[in-house]
Parts: sequence; C-alpha cells; structure tokens
Amino acid sequence: MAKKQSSLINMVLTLFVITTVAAVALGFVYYFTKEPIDNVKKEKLANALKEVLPEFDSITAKDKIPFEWDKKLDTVPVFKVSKGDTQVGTAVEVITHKGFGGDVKLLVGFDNDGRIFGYSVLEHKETAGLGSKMGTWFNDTARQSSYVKGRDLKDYKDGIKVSKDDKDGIDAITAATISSRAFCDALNKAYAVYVNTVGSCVSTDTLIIKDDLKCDTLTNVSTIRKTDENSIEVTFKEEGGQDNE
Amino acid sequence: MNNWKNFTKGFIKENPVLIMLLGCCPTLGTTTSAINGLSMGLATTFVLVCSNIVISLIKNLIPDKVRIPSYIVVIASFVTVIDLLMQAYLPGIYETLGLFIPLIVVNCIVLGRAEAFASKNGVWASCVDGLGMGLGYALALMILGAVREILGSLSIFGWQFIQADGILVFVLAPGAFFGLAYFIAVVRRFNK
Repeated sequence: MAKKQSSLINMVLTLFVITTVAAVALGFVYYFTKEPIDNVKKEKLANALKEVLPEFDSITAKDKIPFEWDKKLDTVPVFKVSKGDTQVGTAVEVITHKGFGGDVKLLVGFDNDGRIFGYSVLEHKETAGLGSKMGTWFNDTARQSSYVKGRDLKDYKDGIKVSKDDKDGIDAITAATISSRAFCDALNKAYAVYVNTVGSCVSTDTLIIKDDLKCDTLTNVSTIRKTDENSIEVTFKEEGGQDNE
Repeated sequence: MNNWKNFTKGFIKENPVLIMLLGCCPTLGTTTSAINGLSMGLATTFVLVCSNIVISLIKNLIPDKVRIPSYIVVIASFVTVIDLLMQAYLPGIYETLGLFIPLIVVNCIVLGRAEAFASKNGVWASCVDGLGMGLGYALALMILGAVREILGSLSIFGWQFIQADGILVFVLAPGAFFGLAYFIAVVRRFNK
C-alpha cells in the first residue's frame, strides 16, 4: 500500500481518527481499572489503620476536620475507632510540606491517653535509602532514642523535634535530618489535630497551643486562645464569660 | 536469523543506554535500587513493544508530515494504559516509580525506535526489535540499580547483607552519574 499524501484533509483526518481511537481505548482501560485502583487505596488505608491503632472492630467516626497549621488551612481526615462500644483510639491523617522531596503523608494513631500508638507513612517522595527509611526508623525498638511509640507529645513543650537529647525529641535518621524534621512536624500537627478533635484539652497547663483551638467536644468551652507565652484565654459557649489563666 | 539479530542487538551492540545514550533521564532517576531499575525497564519494554507493533501496522496510513504527533499519541496512550494497570495491580512498585511512568512518553528510545525501525519494517520484526531494545534497557537499568544499591545501601533486591550504612553518594543523584559513567566505560572497553 502506498503511503498517504500529506494533504490537509489527509492529515486532519488521520490525526482525528488516531486521537479518537486512543481516547476510546483509554476510556475503556480507565473504566476497567477504576475499581481495582479504588480498592487498592481503600485496602492500603485499612491496613495502615490496623497498623497504627489498637485492635478495633469498627470505625465510629470519619471526619474531615478543617485545621490551620503554619497559617495554611487544611482538611484533615480523622478516624475514631472502637472495639465493641468503647472507643479505643484515634488516627489522624496529616500531610506535611516540609519533606526533603515534597509532601509527606502520615497516618498517626493515638490511644485514649493521647500517647502515640503507631504511625504509618502513606505517601512520600523522600530519597530512597535515606529519608525513605522513615517508615521503619522511628518504629524500631532497638533504637530507643528515636522510637516514637508510647511517647506522649504533651511532654514536649514546643512540640517534638529532632534532637540527640531524649527529653527534647527523637534522634534523626542518619543523613536524613530534613526528612526527620518533616516527620516531627507531621507528628506535631497530628497531635494538635488530635487534641483539637478529641478534646483532651482539659489538661490545658501542659497543652501545646500552636494556634487557636476550637473545642467542640467540651460542653461549655468554645475556644482556647493563646494570648502570650504563658497564658491562655478560654471562651465559654453558654455563659459567654472569659477565664484567664 | 535476521530476527535473532534484531532481538540481540538491543542488549550490547546497540544497547539504548550504554551505546546510544538514549533515555538517560529515567536511567539516572529510577536506578536507586535494582528492583526499581528492573520495573522501570519492564514498563518501558511494554510500551516499546506495543507502540512498535501499532506503529508498524499503521505506518502506511499516516501522512509523513503528521507522523511524529501520531506516534506520540500512540505512545502516550500505551503509557497511560500501563500507568493505570500498575496503579491497579502493582501498587507497591507504583508507589516508587509512579512519578517516572508518565515520563516514558518522552523517553527518546520509544520514539527513536518508532521512527528508526517500526516505521520502516514489518509487524513481526518491529515487535522483536521492541522486545530486544526494551529488555536491553531493562537489563542495563537493573545492573546500574543493583550496583548503586549494593554500594549505597549495602543491600541487593531489598535484602540487606550488611547492617551498616553504605556510600551515601551512590543513592543520591551524583551516584547515578558516577555509576553510569563507569558502566559505559567498561562496556565500551569490552565492546571493541
């Protein structure tokens, strides 16, 4: 068969036919892979939840909480899980923009006392072999100085951070300090969201307040505002009164 | 016989990475570990074989002046197909390679083979050529990935053989240049 001439009508027709066929074919592939792709995502989240939380049999609440962090508004998915009728833990899904290679998405689980029960790295673009160790590094019982499970973030006044000293924070991943800092940032954000939504803001004296908190869970408190370094302002819902500590 | 030649030339004699120096961008980017290199190579092989077959089939229907855009549409379609398939069935690998898969579209090897081979040869020969070139590419990427993984993280295919830190630079981008440069030098030396 002879090669087609490059006349205008031939060129337009050829391109039109090729793009149409390609579009239809891609539509089919998309249609058939949509369900498996969604399943993979769901399964991944379900596995991550199992990993970061105590044993549970139902997810009682799944909300997207609007939350401000570093002056940026974000919606943060929060999962509350229960075994039987009692709530056993809360998991918060956070994204930090401080990663070395881009955003890091972390799922952090807290038990009822507000201690970190576990974490799982959902998405990251950190350097392979360095920052990518994030998923196991902070989860290794052999390395207590960077082991995060069981830590209560209210013990850290300015939030947990990368530090050699156990009292101030956790030991960084070797040669991946930026990734480790991003990890700490994500933990702090997750904890702030946790405190905000679960309402363990009762112990206000040790609370880390990065921004104004809205406490919907306490019956009569509406917001806790940080006025300066050492004091906070609590606004009550019904009385409308103010309480300075 | 001729087909066998077509198939084997991609491995050493005309290896896309080591001899023709095509597709260096994904080569440098994805070879942080052996498994990443191999997966990227196989994904590219799939696209190469499919696009070579289709292009050799439709080569006479395409007017010369619009052949490049037509080839790119065909290639891009197959890349999107493998992107979706990997997301659905190989989520683990997609997590590390996802970023590079769409870049196969602009990989010079794919368009290069379409232009240099598939548009002039029959279906069967084009298919064999795509397979040979693709596997040669995958092999080169896997070896480079393995070398970087061994030196950089002291592991191979994810299995850590010494519990220690490797030579960090080999995991990072400069290590890819070092590795590729020595790799090419060695192959050139023995290829003469």
